[in-house]
Amino acid sequence: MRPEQALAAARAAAAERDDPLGAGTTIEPTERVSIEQLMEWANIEPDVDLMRSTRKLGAPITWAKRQLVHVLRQYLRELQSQQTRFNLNLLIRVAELEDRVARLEGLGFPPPAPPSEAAPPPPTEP
Amino acid sequence: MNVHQVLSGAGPYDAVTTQALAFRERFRAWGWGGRDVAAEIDPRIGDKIAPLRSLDARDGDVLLVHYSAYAPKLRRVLEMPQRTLLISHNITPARWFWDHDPQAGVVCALGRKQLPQFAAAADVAAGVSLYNAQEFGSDVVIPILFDPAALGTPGPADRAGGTDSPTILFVGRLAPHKRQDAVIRAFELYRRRHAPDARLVLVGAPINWPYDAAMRVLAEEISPGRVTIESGLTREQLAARWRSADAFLCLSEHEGFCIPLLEAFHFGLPVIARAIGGVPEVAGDAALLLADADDEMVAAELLALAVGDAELRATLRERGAARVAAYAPERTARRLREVLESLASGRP
Repeated sequence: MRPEQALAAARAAAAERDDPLGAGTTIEPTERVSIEQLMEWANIEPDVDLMRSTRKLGAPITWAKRQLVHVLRQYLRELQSQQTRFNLNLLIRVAELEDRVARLEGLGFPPPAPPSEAAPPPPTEP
Repeated sequence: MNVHQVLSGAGPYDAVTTQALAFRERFRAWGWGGRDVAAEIDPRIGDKIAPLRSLDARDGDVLLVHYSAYAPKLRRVLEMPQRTLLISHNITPARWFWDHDPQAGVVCALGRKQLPQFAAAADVAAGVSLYNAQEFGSDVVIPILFDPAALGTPGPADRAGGTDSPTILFVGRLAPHKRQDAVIRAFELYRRRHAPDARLVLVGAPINWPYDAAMRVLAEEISPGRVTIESGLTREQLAARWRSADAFLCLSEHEGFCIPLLEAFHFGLPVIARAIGGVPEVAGDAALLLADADDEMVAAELLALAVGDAELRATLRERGAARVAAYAPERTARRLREVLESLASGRP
């Protein structure tokens, strides 16, 4: 078979098959992150179990790092809570603004024109 | 002439650092000086790459910026008076990383946003493929300096031809846009119908441990005991994987160049790949390319043809050798030299 014929032959053979696989993890791109997902991410909560070494003989180093995290827990908790507080408050503001914009658009206020279509600025005095 | 190379980051295994070091070897052979610096350096790289602050460019020197990730420190380099060549090594769209590695997502999003500004600030901006260059409105291409001799000899002419236990291979970082999940499913669909004893080998460093674990779980669910996931291989081990494989299956959703295609051609393997990004340009007519609408079932059937049809394998092997010749290191080096010399002489 010539390479140019292979794709058509494969498509024909695939069309005759009726043995799909069961469901499983499928990787999909995330085009737009929802506000709910942002809320989840905003809550900074690292899982110490995710500290893993993929290198040979890396286990003792990872163990030492875990101990360091334990020793610094008071400082790290404060750091996490301050960051989370900021993230969540900022997100709530964004969500409120989105609601306000949606309400205004519903009342007949048109969305603003993109910058390129906007009216030119008035001429300035010399 | 002095050419200083500037990298966003340097590490022992990353392709951009390898490329910069290969360029440096050529520069030395041409009698050129200069040093290689990076904004971020993995200590394992040793003294091959110096910190960015040690960059000491003089009048008449040329700066070669390898751009592969968000690096605000590089802005200072592009503001220097020396003439600058920027080579973009392609940055994956952030949408592939938000769910699995948000930090990488941020770096990719900012890196892609910054690229047009950096390209505009350079005297010449080039991509490693035309697809890559066109992302910022350029048509200057300086391909990857691909040296097949460094990979080792290909092995027997064609070891497949009806083998009962073919090995399917994919080489590439274990990352969302590489779609190893789709490779596993396509492989299982192929194995189930055509070759019950087939096995799949995935070679590539994972973006992080949870993603590695997720792919391993998926492999065990879909095709128990038939999939091997490996990383950190030596050059000899990787060459052995290529030599023992019967086909290369790449279902990536984003590739700026895809060096493993040329590696597969070098080892004489038939290639099945998704026709995205720089893949059609690099593969030419030497690969079996899937369209967007083709699903994993079609990929599985193409695998069956690529492994089992001797005439098809022979034709692809012949065409693959021509693609390797088209990307011969001498040709790329000549192109690189032309661009750098014209920059140094003040021509655009």
